[in-house]
Amino acid sequence: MKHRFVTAAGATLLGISGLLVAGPPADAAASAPRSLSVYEHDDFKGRSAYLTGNDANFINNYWSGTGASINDNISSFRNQGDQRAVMYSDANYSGAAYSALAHSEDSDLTHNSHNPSNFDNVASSVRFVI
Amino acid sequence: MPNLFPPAARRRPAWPPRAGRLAAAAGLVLLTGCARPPKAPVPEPPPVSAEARSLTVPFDAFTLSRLDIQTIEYAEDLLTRACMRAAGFDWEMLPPPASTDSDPMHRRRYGVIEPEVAERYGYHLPPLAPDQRAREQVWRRREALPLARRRTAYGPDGQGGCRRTARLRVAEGVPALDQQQLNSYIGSTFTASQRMPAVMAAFEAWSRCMSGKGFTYDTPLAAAGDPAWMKSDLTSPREIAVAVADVECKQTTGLVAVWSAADKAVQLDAIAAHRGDFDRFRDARDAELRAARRIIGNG
Repeated sequence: MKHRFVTAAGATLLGISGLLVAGPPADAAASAPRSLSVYEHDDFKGRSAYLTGNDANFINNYWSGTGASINDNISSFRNQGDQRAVMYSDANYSGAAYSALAHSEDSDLTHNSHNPSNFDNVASSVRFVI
Repeated sequence: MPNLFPPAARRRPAWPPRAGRLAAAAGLVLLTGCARPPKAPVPEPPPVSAEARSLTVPFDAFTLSRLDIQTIEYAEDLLTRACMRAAGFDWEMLPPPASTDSDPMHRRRYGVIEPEVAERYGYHLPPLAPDQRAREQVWRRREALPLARRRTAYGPDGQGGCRRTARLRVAEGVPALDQQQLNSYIGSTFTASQRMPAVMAAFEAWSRCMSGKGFTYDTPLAAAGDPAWMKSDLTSPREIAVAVADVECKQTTGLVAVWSAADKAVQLDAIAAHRGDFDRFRDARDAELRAARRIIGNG
């Protein structure tokens, strides 16, 4: 266990903490503080991607098993982690900040008919709140 | 590999030969198997500039600041710790809420605006502030909890356990917050702010300024999002040059003041047009904070 901690700390310094929860047992992944699933369509449908760390620019982040970027293409999400995430409308944590509460989901980022332009297909970066 | 022994010690061993061999072997183990490599000192991030700290938007009255979030998380931690102790385990607390936000939420709302950040890190994030590092280390250690403690804390599926009990306790009596709706207002007003004539004119002036410095971008957010910056975790000289020019052009064109004013105006219009929605957002936020503070007060 100590070795895992040292590894995690080192990886965090390198900015690759997101890679660490790929391998542990299923229940460990489920209890990871950072566990954000994003989906291409409303209601958690379409292609998906799993985010476990900060990502400054979604342009290089792809729907699982594809070469298609998730940038400006997310329509719903599930945050199953213990940490709040903030998705930003623009890369490098710039622009409007969209909160994804811990253990929450948003099935439809086009929600709210008063506002035709909102966060649907907008998110370009994510940072977990510490 | 650094030399750990002073010259005198190397010339004339102070220990008997056998003890010396043992010590040498122990040293070798330390240097190879068990020892951590010497840590480079973590650089301190630039202090938050006065301009970045002054950035506010009307929606702040309805949303949680980073310090508010820390308050809620601290209350959840107190309840989690009590629950864990009842089950025979300890629980490492996050540090208490800070008194000053070391990394305000709106710091990068209009892209990088701080000269020192641009000069040292370009568009990359500065290192974490000390209080953020302390919190980050606790979060990371929670990823490595032994199985029994992890299951008690998070439940077998990661969604339950003492953490869920704590969240539900903090949420008791708190009106439901329609975060989706609130987020939608946040997104739509920010988009609308960029379409205000004064902001579009400021973008054009900023773009001309950038052209004069040899860089071609239509908006500051396009500069911040240049995919070239993603090629490495290290900041390139060109990234620094663009970021510095970006900040300088923001200053010479007054872009942040213009955009911030438009941003505020659009948000105030939205609040006025949807008073009932925003009253509910504020009620939910205030009730959650009151609950958290009450729990902390009861310690």
